[in-house]
Amino acid sequence: MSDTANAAIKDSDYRKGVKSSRGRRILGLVLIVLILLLGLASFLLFRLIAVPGNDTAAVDTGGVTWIRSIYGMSDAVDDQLTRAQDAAPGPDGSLWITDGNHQAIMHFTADGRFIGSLTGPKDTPLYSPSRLAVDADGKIYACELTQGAVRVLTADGQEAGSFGIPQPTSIAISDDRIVVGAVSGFAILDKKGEPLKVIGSRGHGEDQFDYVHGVAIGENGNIYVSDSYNNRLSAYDPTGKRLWIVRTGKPANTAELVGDNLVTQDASGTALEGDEALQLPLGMTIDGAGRLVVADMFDCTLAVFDAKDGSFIAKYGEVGPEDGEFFYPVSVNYDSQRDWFTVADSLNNRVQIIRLPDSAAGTGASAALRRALAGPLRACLFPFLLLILAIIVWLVVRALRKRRDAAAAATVAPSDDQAPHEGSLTENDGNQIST
Amino acid sequence: MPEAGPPKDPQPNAAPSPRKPKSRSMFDDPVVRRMGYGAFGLVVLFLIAILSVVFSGVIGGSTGPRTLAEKEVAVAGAAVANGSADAELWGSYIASLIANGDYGRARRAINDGRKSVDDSQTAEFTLAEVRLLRAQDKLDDALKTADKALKQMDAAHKKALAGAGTIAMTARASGLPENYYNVILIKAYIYRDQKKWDQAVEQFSLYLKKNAGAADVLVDRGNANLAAGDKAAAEKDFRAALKFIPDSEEAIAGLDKIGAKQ
Repeated sequence: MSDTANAAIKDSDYRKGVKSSRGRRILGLVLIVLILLLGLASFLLFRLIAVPGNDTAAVDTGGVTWIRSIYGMSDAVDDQLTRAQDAAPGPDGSLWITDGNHQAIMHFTADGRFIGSLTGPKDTPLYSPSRLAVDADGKIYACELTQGAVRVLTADGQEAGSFGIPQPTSIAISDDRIVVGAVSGFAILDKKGEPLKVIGSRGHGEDQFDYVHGVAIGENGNIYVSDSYNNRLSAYDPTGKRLWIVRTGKPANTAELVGDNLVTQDASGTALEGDEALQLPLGMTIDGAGRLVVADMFDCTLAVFDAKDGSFIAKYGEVGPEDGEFFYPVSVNYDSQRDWFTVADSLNNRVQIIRLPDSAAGTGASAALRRALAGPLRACLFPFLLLILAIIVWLVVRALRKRRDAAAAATVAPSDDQAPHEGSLTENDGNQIST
Repeated sequence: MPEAGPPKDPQPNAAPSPRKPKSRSMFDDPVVRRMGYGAFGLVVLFLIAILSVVFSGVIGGSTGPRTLAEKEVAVAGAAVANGSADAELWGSYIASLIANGDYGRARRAINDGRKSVDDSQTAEFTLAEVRLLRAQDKLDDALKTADKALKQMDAAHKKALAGAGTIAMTARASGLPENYYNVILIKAYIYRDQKKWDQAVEQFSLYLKKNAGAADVLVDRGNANLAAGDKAAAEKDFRAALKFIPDSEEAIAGLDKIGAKQ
């Protein structure tokens, strides 16, 4: 055996058997300090991004799961929302919000951070935008009730094809159509704002309407309408042919003052009675499971219906000021990517992001993943994936090394009894040095 | 001293000199080496987490209030910052800070308020201090401070009654300030937290003398009576609560607990 090889073996033997107590103490201390520092930094980061001081467990939310509320653009008093009107999610999950105090459409991230606001072009500013819809291209459609128009703006506030329509009160968008609810019915339009069909007149009859405060378009193109003061819901196929109609409670437009009391007459054919009945159905949306979700303003709840036939499924929500409760909710929208609802909680002067049971599309696992990645926890995704990758790499390297060591040991084994040949020593030598 | 010459080229035919073992390092210890890798990995992981937080848009930008408590802090805080001399407003600001878990700011606000606002009649800041101490789970201190607040309001009321003219008339007409009974109620809840049921019932009763229609407090006294073993008194309280709120879930649950018919 050459001197070089002997020295190398001695060196590697030393390296294999060495124990550095000082090194272990120092590195142990470094590891402890690092873990403490990382723990502290993670805690501070969590405090920064988590919604603080919320104890919804102590609040009866009537089955609603509260995610977060948006009260305003900043802490300044003038920046607070007043009489929230609508909160429509864009394709990127950000929220476009209107209220009764700001003549603008306010833009927030899904985490509730204020990004900016649109006031419209200088020559034709927004007047009093109320109900909103955002299409897949990110264009914003805003109802201007008193101006008799639907304003269409790009995300940076440029005019993008506004069109006139009398007294628009609600709006929904699909890939190829726009549906606008109005005081006396609703209209189906193409994406340029050209009317394809106009349905209804004002009144109590079956083909009449009294303030359509909510419209929604299903995946199959069916149109759903909330006829607010008639307290009815109805569904139409894409051509405007009615599929079903249900009276969901006493119509508000039959109310009259009897003595000192405001009395609503019983209507024949009311599908819902008692606690199930709606008081004033306003905004509506379709959730991931294809159900119709309606904001009942006076009952301060969200009612869920089967979109196939308008049959009642459930009601969620409680009246109150706490986060997770409602006080005159006027509109509801659904974000299918995040499986959550955005509710304009009007008299609580806020927008709430909430979840309802069984609203998700797809399997439980995919819904759970979407939900997990919807919140601030998505920031942990890349570090988590990296950690998994590092563990996989470590396991693979360890397995390879074990296999190589086993092969090397098998090669060295005969050398216990006899002097090794030059070739095998060199191979063994190289292997140990690299260890 | 000899000068160091340029390194000589190795002689091709010279016998190889034995290689010296490398200098020993603590990283020759495999355990130390692994710990080093671990530490390096942790640092890398943390840096990636920071980048991920920044690039995922989770932080940054301006954020308005996200909870009711934050909204109250923002709105009441703005009024306080504008120099309001309204002790009640200061009180609601401090209460919202406490609800928000911001105890440090609440303590500072109590101190600042005491310097700039007169609360001799309503003991607003002492009441705020009671709330703060209770929130911090310093229950004995909270009880002592509550007694201090009661004394302060009682003395101020007696002084007003002994005064002349409209001050005395107003004091006679309005009685002790509302905060007096708020402090009594907080004392009741502190005793309840301490599971001192008899004292809790006593304080609830004092409060109910002034606020007989407080259904929620009737339910609370009923539960305290139940915990103290007085089922008859508990049933009476739950039934009294139902007179004010016929479908009170808490009162019905209380009656269920003692097996009483509704």
